Order: sequence, then C-alpha cells, then structure tokens
Amino acid sequence: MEMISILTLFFIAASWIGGNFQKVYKTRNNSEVVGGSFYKPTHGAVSFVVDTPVHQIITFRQDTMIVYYPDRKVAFKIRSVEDAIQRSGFNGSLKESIDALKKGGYIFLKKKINGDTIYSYWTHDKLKTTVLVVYDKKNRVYRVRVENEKGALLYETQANSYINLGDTIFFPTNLKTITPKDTEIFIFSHVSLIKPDSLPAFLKNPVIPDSVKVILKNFDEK
Amino acid sequence: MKKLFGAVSASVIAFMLVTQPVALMAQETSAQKACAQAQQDAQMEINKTLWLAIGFFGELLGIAAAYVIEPSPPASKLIGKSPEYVAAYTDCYKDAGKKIQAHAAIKGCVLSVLVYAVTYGCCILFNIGAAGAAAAGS
Repeated sequence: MEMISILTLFFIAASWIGGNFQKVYKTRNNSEVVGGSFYKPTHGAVSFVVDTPVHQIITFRQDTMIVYYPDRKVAFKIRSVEDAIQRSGFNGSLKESIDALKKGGYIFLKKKINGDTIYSYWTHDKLKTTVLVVYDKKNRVYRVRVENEKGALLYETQANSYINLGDTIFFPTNLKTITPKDTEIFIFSHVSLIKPDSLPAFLKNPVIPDSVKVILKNFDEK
Repeated sequence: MKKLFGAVSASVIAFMLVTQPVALMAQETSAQKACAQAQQDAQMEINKTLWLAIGFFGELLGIAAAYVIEPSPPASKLIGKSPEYVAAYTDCYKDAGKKIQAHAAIKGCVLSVLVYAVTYGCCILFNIGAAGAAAAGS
C-alpha cells in the first residue's frame, strides 16, 4: 500500500519528460546538426535548451514563446493566439495527434485493424488531402502520412524505438519527418521522467535579466 | 614607432573596409535565406480553410481579424538558429502569414456575398413568378 502511494507520488511529481536530443536537417544541398536537451511536461509544450551550434533556450509561457540567447544577451518574446503544443512542433500522444487533426478540419474516414496495428484514415474536403495515422493498441503512434488527392506525399512523420517511462507513458526516441524537399530527424537519448526541481533554472523561472535586450514580436496590437 | 603605428592603423582600416561589406553581405544573405524559408513555411503551415470560413461567416470582421491576428512560427523552425535568423524569419513569417490569412478571408467574404446575392435573387424571381401567377389566375 505504502509502495503504491510512493509510486503515485513519484509519478505526480515527475510530470516532465527530459533528455538529450540531436536534430539533423537535410535538404539536397545542405545539412545541419543541432544538439542539446529537451523538457516536456506530460501534457504541454516542449522546451529546448540548445548547446550547438548556438546556446539557445526555447520555452513557452501562456501565449508567448521565449527564445533566449544567454551568451548573446538577447531574447525574443513571440506572442501568438495559436496553441503552444502545436507551436512547439510535437504532438507526443495519439490524443494530441487526433486533436490536431480535428482542429485542422479533418474528418474521420475509416479504421482498419491488422493484429496489434491500427490504420486510421482521415480526409479534408477543402484541402483535398488524406491523412493516415498508424498506431498500436497501446496508443503509440508510428506513422502520420499526409497525401494530396493524387496520392503524392506532402508530409510524413515516423516515430520509432519507443521507450516505456511508466505504465502509460511511451516516448519515441527516433522521430523522422519527410517532405518532398527536406528530411528532419530527431534522435532522443537519456530520456527519463524528471521532477520539476531538476529542470534548468530558466525553465523553472523564465525571468530574463535586465542586462539582456528583449525583442518583442507580435505584440503590436496590444 | 609612429610610422609603424600609422601603417598598422592603415592596414586595420583597410581590413575593416574590406571585411565590413563582406560581413554585411553575409548577414543580408542569411536574412534573405531566413525570409525565403519563412515564406515557404507560412504557405505550408497557415490553415487557409479556417481563414476562408472566418471570412465567410465573419465577412468584414473576418477580413479585419486576418489583418490583426499575427501568425507566429513553430518552435521547431527556430531551433539552433542565430538571433539574426530568428528576427528575420519571425518578421517574414508574420508578413507572409497575414497576406495568406487575408487572401483566404477575402475569398470567404466574396463567397458569402455571392451566396447572399444568389439567394436574394432567387427570392425576388420566385416572388415575381408567384405574383405573375396570382395575377394570371385572377
């Protein structure tokens, strides 16, 4: 009984997932590598602390994205009416992926089940695009593919090598996004549940020092 | 000594004169690159259907909203980029996004006006027809 309550307390306290990331962005003529660490609340927008090629911190507070360069003494505050989870660029769970589809005006078309794998098809009347979401019975999303009406690829995200961080928390350690023009690969390592106390100081309390130049973007209409 | 100092100063100035335009050009190229990427990304990311619907139902208010609401870029596009890139990218994304939003909202508004006009026209024709039939009947 005590064991259960200790575990419950740990999972309530450990409401963040953290680890290292490496992003590789490739086009036909160009290749970029970015590395650092990431921190994601179990339900919320992901924050990044970039080490290479620049020291940069990206985090969200309410409707504002903060992009902070501690070494360059400059920070951007970019306001938006859009959802922070969407803006952070990662829909971690099946629920978040489906919510994003519904929000984007997609209508559920059909579902096919093959063993443990579920194929869910969605369509958009106006955009004339179809979306295939492939996931398993544990709600782990493996593939999201967007095609135009002729069946040509517009966008595909593949999530692989899931690790189990608890009874219902699964995290993909390899995330690949392909478009006809470029490929973006995120490789996550040393991923674990972390307590809010272990977060980097700036993510716990994102106060920008007075010595830093703050540039406001999209605050015009306020 | 003075001569040496003068020579060093001259070479420093010459070096600055040569390198400054090069540095400025590099900055410009980086900003241009960021801007081109932002315009391309805005085309992909902005939900045109949503803005078409806002224009259709909101009409002039919908168009006004399209000009007022400023789209902002996703974080994944800014990871690992320099402050100069972020500044140029954010501005260009906002400008391109607003144009796309407004274009879609105007389309929606025009569509809404056309629907009203056709419905109104049909009503008038129906009334004229009904009035004509009533007159012929009497």
